[in-house]
This record gives sequence, C-alpha cells and structure tokens, in this order.
Amino acid sequence: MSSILEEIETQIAGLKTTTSKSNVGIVRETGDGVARIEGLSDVMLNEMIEFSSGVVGLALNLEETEVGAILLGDSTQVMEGDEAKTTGKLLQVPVGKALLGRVVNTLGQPLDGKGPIKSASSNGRASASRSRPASWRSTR
Amino acid sequence: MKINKETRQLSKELLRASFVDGRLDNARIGALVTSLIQKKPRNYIKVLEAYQRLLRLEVEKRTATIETVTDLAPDASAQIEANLKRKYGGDLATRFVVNKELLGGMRIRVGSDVWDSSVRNRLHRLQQQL
Repeated sequence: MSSILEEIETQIAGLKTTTSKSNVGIVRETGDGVARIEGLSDVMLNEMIEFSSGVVGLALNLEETEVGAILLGDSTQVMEGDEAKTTGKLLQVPVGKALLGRVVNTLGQPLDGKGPIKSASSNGRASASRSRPASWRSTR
Repeated sequence: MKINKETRQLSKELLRASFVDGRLDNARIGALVTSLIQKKPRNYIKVLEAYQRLLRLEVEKRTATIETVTDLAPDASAQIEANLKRKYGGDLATRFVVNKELLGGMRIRVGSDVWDSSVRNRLHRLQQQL
C-alpha cells in the first residue's frame, strides 16, 4: 500500500504545473469514421489528434481551414462541437518482445485483458513505419 | 461543407476585400454582401455561406476567450487583456466567461491556441500519467 502511495506522490511531484499551450480545433462534422475539424492550425500530417471524449484520430486531410481525421476508436463518442487537440506525436504503437502473443487495437492498446504492454524501447514506443515489421512478425 | 472551387475562390476574394488597413471593416463587408445579393452570381448563396464561415474564423482568430471559475477582479482582467494585446496586437477583442467546470485556474483561447492552467486540465494530465 505504501509503495502505491509513494508512486502516486512521485507522479504528482513530476507533474508539470506550468501552463500548457496546445493547439485545438472544433469538430464540425462527423460520420463514417471521419471527423472534419475546424482550427488545428499547427497539426501535422499523420499526427495523432485527441478528442475530448478520449478517442484518438489521425490527421490525414489538411486543408486551409479544416482538417479531416479518421477516428481510431469508437466514432459514436465524437460529436459535433467537441474539442480536438494535437498531441505532437505521429501514429505510434509499442514494439518489442512484450508485444508477442498480445491482442491489440489499432493504437497498440491491449484488448486481451493481460495488462499494459511493457515495451522494451526507451520511451516505450516507436513510430508505426519503423515498427511494422516487428509487430507483423510478433503476431505470426 | 462541400463547396466547389469557384465558390471557394470567390469567397476568399471577398474575404481579402473585407480588410481595410489590415482589419475587418464592417462597412466594407456590408457593401460586399449587398453587391453580391444584387448581382446574384452563380451559387451566390453557397458563396455567402462560405464567406460567412471565413469571416467567423477570422473573427475567432482576433478574439481571446478567457475562462475562469469566478468573475475576475477588474484590475486582473485589465492586466490579462493588456498582456494579450501586447502579444497578439491591439485589435484583439477579449471575452470573459465563467466556467465552473474548470474547478480552478484559467483557460485562454485565441484562435487555435489554448493556454490551459486550469485544475481540470492538471487533473486530466495526472490521470494520463498514472
């Protein structure tokens, strides 16, 4: 019990309390697993976008005033008027031996109820383009 | 909103023509809209809708929305306003909103940029870390 408390205290101590700046947009349309978002002026192509409901999207269609994103989750949770913000990360999935035998969704999150995937990489994640061969091999 | 290339170009031209000395001019906008309605070019209703959307986005870029849990003291509001105007220019409009959902702190939005120092955001970040 005390170790859990210590861990939480460490997490709180490490939490940045400074003001965070983010780039946000507003969902204007959603349907067929695609959301059209107004704003997001600093979004990158293939960047992960986080919606206020927690659903993650992938920015694919960058227009002058709008961004088209595919939804990588329950699209029914994303509504018109919801806020979406950039994450600064390209599409990423965990890689390494910890992924062997696991069942994951499109974001590499476990679906098999065996707990989080402890990736061997230094930051726990690597870009999808680099990880594809490893994850492909691991699921064979 | 799906619009064709011609409509998009015309609405952008209207937006460009709406500025006087780098600022949106209400009289100019009114004149442009009246002229468009009188001339009735092809798809003019779509053009007007696209033009209105571009104008709204332009106004949002020049408007700062400051959300707090309680009403700010006049001197604090004035200081925030002055700081924002120093950063974004003197023509920035400010709007103060009370939002109890923030729990504490402040959230400022200017166009797509958001500075969030609210307790709700800090708790959310803590939740993500845990």
